[in-house]
Amino acid sequence: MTKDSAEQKVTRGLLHALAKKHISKECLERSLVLSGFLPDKNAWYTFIHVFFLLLGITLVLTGISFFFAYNWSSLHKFAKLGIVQLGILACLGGVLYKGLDSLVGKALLFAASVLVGTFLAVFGQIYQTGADAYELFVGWFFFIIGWTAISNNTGLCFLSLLILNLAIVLGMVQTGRVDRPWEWCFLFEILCAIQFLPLLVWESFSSRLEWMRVRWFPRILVFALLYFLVFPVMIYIFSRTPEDRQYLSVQIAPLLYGSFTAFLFYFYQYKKQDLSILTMNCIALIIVVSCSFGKFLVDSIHDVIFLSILVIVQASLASIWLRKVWKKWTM
Amino acid sequence: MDNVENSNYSIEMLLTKLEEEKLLDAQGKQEIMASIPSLLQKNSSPWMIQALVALAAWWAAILFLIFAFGTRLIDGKDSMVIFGLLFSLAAIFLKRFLYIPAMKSSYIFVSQLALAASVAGQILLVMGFGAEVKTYTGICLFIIGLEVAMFFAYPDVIQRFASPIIVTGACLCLFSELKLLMLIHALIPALGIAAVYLWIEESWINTQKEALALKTLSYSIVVSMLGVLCLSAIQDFEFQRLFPIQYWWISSVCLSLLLLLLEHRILHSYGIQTLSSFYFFALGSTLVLAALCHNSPGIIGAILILVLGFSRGNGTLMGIALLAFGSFLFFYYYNLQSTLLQKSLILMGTGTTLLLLRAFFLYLFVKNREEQA
Repeated sequence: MTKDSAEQKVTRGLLHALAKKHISKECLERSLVLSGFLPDKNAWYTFIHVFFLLLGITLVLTGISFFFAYNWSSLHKFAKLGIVQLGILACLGGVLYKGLDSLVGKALLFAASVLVGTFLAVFGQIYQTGADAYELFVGWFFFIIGWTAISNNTGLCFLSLLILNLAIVLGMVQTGRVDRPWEWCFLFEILCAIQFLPLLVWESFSSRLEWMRVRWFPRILVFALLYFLVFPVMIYIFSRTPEDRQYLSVQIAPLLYGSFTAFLFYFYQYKKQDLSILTMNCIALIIVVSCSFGKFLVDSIHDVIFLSILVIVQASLASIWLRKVWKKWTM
Repeated sequence: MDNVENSNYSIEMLLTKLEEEKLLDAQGKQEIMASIPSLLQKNSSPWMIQALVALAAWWAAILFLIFAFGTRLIDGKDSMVIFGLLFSLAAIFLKRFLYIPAMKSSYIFVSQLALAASVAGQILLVMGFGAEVKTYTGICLFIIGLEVAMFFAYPDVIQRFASPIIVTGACLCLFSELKLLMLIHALIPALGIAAVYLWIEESWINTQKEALALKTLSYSIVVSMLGVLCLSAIQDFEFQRLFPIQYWWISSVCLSLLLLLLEHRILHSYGIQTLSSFYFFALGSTLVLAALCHNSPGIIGAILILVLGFSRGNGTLMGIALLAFGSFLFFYYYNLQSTLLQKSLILMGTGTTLLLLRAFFLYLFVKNREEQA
């Protein structure tokens, strides 16, 4: 065995491979414990107390919300606003006491951010200003963006982005700007831009900041981006009237999708190694290519067999390539 | 399906430690060291690549069936059975006998083709047999037999994951058809026992030749159990009329007992005595949970899988359990036949109880640490 092999870190996969021929069940179990893959007493302690904490706080907050929902009509308007504001202040007090770095502090800041939305909803209900729902989400986003910036909290980043997306979608739907296919294209392209900027920021800083090393958030962003990009491409492929294709938002859809796909393939293969994102990208590409083939080359039911074969070929090529990439990373 | 994680131990450090603890002899250590370079190169595909393959196979199979029915290539129950049998046998042949290690890339394509053929073949067989027999009981029994046969005959991870789930679904339909819905309270504990056993014996499974098949079965049984438990969360009137399943507390009691046994085993593995304060904490919490959720076995089932997943350090299992737990909890409170005020008090009460339990647990842990010091 080379020195390099001996100094390689133990992986779970390697231990399981050893189990087939070289080590007994008891030896494998002990290896998993020594390597830290099975939890020790401290891990159980953390797991139990964090689980009880998060679940307990969630249930109490939900209970409080239900309580006020029940008594809502009989409360005075100042009481309604005051209670929610008190909740926000109490949460912020807890954050100051526990600190932003603690789990309790992060959970309380998240709760405070949710209560800001509740406050705006109550305000809009009491003072019937005639404002549209999207204005609530816009206000909510701007009120909590400062906390999001300082919180080092992935959950809060996700919440802020979700609120922003809802604000844009509702804004365009409620102002009657999405009716025809090209308008939907335009909306999806704006949503793409909204997800793309945070993705770039996240991936730029993730190697430097510990709290940004989680991968679920950029993966959700990429999933959303692909979802929002594939739809305009589908509109381009399947648009029934030539009129729709005259609009720039429809015409640039394939270009935007192609550029973004190429970017994903390059970035997540050479710069940041993420097999999940590359796989999602391959699935999206298979969908787009197959739909294009189906629309432009399938004229009768007899041609559907070729579409079936095309899907198999694409998936095979994708899985071969993904395996090669993955093996290259794990060597 | 294993999570690829890195330990802080190097291979040499671990083997030396195992030798010190007399779990490995010098010769064994040398053999392992000699085989490490080849083992480092051999890995199975990550689950996401297999998920891509599964999606594509389904899509290809559905397109093929559209073609086959649209062009009247398959026309009538006899042709469905014949083609179904042909495709299934072709899939088994391709998968079992055409593996050539030097042609791994071609094999992936063949494997894809085989999976698509297998899916199409099974759908055709079920449709053909169903058209022949015309009774739900017969169709369910056929599906069970077919999936059991395919589980053993067709050595594919996706097939072996899907087969137990399909068998469970067919069993449920059978119970409904035979008006024996109470048997669901035997099915759930059976699935729970199987899940717990397979995951506790994960290390033993990994030493077996059919390790991959058994591990796939382990995940599949967990998903099947949680799937069946979803029926306990549906309170829709129409659904209740069609599937009048009563006495959910039976499943709750069985799953609670299973959870207690699992906790007992885990506590003992860490050297915690039977009559210690931690033991009573675990016992008490589980009994409180069982009492509160006696009509919602889904919550208990999800917690069982969560504890199982954490004890095995398996993030995938924990993720499945947390998703199930969140859903079951939501439906539990949604389905409560009480006013908003009562629901709010129940929620606040439950939340406060959990926070108090946490405080008590922290106190026990600190006290135990001080005693040991």
